Amino acid sequence: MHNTRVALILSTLVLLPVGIVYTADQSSNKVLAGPSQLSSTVSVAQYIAVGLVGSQVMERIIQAGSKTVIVDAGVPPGIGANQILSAN
Amino acid sequence: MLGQTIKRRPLNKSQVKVGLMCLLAGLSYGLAGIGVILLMTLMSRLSIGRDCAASHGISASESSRLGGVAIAVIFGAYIVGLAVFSPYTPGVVRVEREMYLWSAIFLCVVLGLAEDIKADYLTPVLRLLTKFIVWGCLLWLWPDLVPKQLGVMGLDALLQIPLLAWLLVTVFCVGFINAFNMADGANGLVPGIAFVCFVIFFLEYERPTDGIMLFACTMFLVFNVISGWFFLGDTGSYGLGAIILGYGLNGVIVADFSVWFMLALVAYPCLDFVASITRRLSSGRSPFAADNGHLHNLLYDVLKSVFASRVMANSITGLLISGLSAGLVLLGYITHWRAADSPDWLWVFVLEAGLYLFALRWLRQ
Repeated sequence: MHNTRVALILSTLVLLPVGIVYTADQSSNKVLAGPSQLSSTVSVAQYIAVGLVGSQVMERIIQAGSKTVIVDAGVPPGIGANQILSAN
Repeated sequence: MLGQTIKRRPLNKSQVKVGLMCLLAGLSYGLAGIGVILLMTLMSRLSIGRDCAASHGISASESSRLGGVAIAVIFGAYIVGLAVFSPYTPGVVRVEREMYLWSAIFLCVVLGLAEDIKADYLTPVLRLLTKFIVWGCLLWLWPDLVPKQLGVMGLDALLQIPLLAWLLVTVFCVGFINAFNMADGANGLVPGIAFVCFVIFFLEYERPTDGIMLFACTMFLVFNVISGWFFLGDTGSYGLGAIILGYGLNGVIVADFSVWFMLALVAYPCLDFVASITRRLSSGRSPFAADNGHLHNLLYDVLKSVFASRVMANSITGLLISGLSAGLVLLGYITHWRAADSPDWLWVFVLEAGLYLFALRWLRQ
């Protein structure tokens, strides 16, 4: 196989999951932290992972999702396993 | 040593294009964006789904029709990834009607995929019939998606008869998806309109699906406009048309958008569809017979004599049309010219229709 194609495949396999893993990680952290306000500061790591526009899109998705988190009765906030994130 | 290597092997045009696309993707969407550009570069080089230059109205080079497949792969990867690695539960799992809508979208995508992999695999009549059955079933299972009142005299009276309303809306849905497919003839035209639609849907609803579609469409728009190696194909035009149709219709039903707002947003595909069908029927040809009489074809004929690069002329054609139609609506929306549920968007649609007719008349002379 051509070297360029191998390099393209490897780079794609490494870079494509970055956005998925980073967004999923941030979303999970938000649910675990409970319904507090999102921080307005964006880390350098976030800019590198999802960029300027991607950061804004990701923050809005997570914020909109966290508003509709349903916490089971009798379960203290901060326990993600008993929370259901409800968004389209 | 490295300097000598660079001197000996200067970057070719393709490498410069990939570099520029990665730069734009990196700035806007970081490493996630660069990953998508690299995936699209890889997919555009596959031997399947090739579109020869002669079969396309504008393109002067052989390109890939797998752009829609790339968008579907990115969308699917993000939805599955978020569902597996985060507490996010996709709407299709939670809400029954979402499952119906996405099933209809999926079937439209499959229909387009068959056509992209093997051209004319399905006859136009069979494709039309399948779309009619798919959207007819969706509207039957989700009757609330059929509008009861649009504020258009005469039409509102017809919509009061349930069976007739179902039939009219089904015909409209099939026509709309075909219109989206028919308009996909220049770089950045349909992707540009889809990009604007998803910006508006995302700002209005902040749904993960809209956010992911916005990301995928932005990356495709960058790739399509700069390189011209990749087209949406039938997979992309059917799929994007179906998503915009489903979410747009739902937005009109719940009164977030007026029918004129949605019509102004997708004015170009609708106007071009009506003009093309009228042109073909008036000259005694089949309404399904493809031709190069679309406004984007005529505009490209003028622009290719102005620009040295054919890809640039192609991309400017698409961006001009999408910018002056859907872009105008986006400008009005973000500057709060009128609320999205205002009937005043009728005047924007009238302006777009006037511009379309003026440009068509001027370019034909």
